[in-house]
Amino acid sequence: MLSEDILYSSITELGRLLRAGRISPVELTESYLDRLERFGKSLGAVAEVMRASAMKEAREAEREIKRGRYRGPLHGIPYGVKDLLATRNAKTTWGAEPYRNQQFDYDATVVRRLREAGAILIAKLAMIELAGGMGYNQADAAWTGPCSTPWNTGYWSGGSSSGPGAATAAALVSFSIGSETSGSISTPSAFCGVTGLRPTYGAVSRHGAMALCWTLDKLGPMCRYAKDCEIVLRAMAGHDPLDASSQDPKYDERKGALAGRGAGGRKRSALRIAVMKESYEKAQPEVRANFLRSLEVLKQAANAEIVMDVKLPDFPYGAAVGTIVDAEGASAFRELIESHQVQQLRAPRDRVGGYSAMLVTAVDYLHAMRLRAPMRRAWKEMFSKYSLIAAPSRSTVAYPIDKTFEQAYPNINASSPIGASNLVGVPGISIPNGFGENNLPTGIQLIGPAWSELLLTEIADKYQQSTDWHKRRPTINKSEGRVQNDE
Amino acid sequence: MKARKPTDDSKSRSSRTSRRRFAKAVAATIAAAPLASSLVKAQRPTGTKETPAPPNPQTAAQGQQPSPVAEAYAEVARRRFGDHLTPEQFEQVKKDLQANVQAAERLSTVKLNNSDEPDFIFSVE
Repeated sequence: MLSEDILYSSITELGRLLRAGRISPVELTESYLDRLERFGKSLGAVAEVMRASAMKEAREAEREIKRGRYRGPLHGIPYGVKDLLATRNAKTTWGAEPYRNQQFDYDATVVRRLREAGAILIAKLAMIELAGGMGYNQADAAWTGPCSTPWNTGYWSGGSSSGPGAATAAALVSFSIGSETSGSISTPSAFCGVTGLRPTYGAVSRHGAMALCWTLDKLGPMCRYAKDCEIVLRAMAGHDPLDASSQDPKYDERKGALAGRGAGGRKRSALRIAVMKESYEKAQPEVRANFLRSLEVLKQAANAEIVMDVKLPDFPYGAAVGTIVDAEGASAFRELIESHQVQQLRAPRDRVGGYSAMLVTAVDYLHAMRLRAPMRRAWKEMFSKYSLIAAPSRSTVAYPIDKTFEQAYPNINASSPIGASNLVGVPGISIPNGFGENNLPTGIQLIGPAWSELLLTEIADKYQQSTDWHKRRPTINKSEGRVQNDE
Repeated sequence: MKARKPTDDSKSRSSRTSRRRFAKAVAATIAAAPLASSLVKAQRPTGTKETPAPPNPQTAAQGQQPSPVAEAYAEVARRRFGDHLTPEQFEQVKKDLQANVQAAERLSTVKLNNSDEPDFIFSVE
């Protein structure tokens, strides 16, 4: 088996080793499969390990690379997907008991594109049942059971991309694909100490992905390095005739995405980062301290001007996103709710959440949808003044597995840009920035205007060149289920 | 959801008459509930509260007494789904419906122009 040092390497580094023939796709795949089988179940991170198909793809990649047909930076790289993406070679359970035996006869567009780039799919990773659309309020809300963050297995990995977060942090895969409706990439990225990128709405095809909310769902990479997110995104993004919402990305491909991308067309030196008001003041003390330290790093590393305490445009974001998720989710799962199979879900809260969602009125849903256009205009105006918005990824560290969310940290009451930024469809990246209570990771999120993914990954990469939080490794002790921060 | 078929609503159809009658009662109750609405508006938060992902407005109303409007919706829920809910589950549904009412009230505080269209585009091929 390959060493942990290799398995925790970036995609760029693994690609270099593979191309040079210093490691082979077969031994790399074997090594990750071994870790998936040893640690995946105890972490609650795995829905299905795809050993047979993975090894077949690994042998094919090995043959191609030996013959000199190198497809690019993902060729021979093993990865996992959240179990809401359709795959021919494994069941697709959506994390939910009623779909335990669901089998599709096609691959999601994202899976197909990554295969064409040479990446090797090795696992379907655990997720919160139905991506959390029924209103879960506990970690144990999936047929796979609760998923732990590998930093402290008494605590949750976050959701709804729970398996991608935990598996990436523990190097059970080199990277993973998660999905976000409103926080489902950024939350597990923060709780597991990985780097997660939520692309602009429409940048990545959702064909073959479970629909929770058609106007909010997005797919994105979860990696250990910011630059890896860019590599994976480039392989996934682009118009797909099978998803009408998808489009070709409008990325600024000039060398250094920062060039000319400052607020209002200012030059690189005028990069302005707005810190969201009320996002950090009432966060946990360690979250707040790590966040403020991160701003200092960004000031230096990205030559950024930091503007404190900027208010988001005033709209009822929470009510809007909740109404939209309820209405679209109830429509997507109407049959499940009306047949009362929803009662087979794991979390008691999920068994009833769909009933009230069924009664959201059409007028309220449309009112929420009508609000999105003025919201988008207001955010566009905001981004004419600021290049990026910054906030803690989450105001607390991960929640204890044995408590409901309401019981976890009842005195923490910070605001978050997650719902608002998802409503307006703009991209965001969460990067690890330290540790808080109980040796649990914390994160900072950066949000940019539509199609600013390259700017986000470049700034995040500059941050990671100045820090080493993304290189820290949890130590997994399988027998005791204990972990520690590997300094 | 490609693999799924449209729902057969025959079960709902069978109870249409009684539901239509009940809708009138709901409308009357809504018209009689301005006090509850203004109470909800007064409690409107200024920020975007952080919630588990994805957010659920239902958490906002935990511990609050259902308004008359929410009670009316609860009656709809009881007639449509009540046979399959335990008393505890039905109480939770009532709280969720109260949250729905609050969310709707919050949305309606932002005035829109007649020309403001929903943020999706219908097109013909």
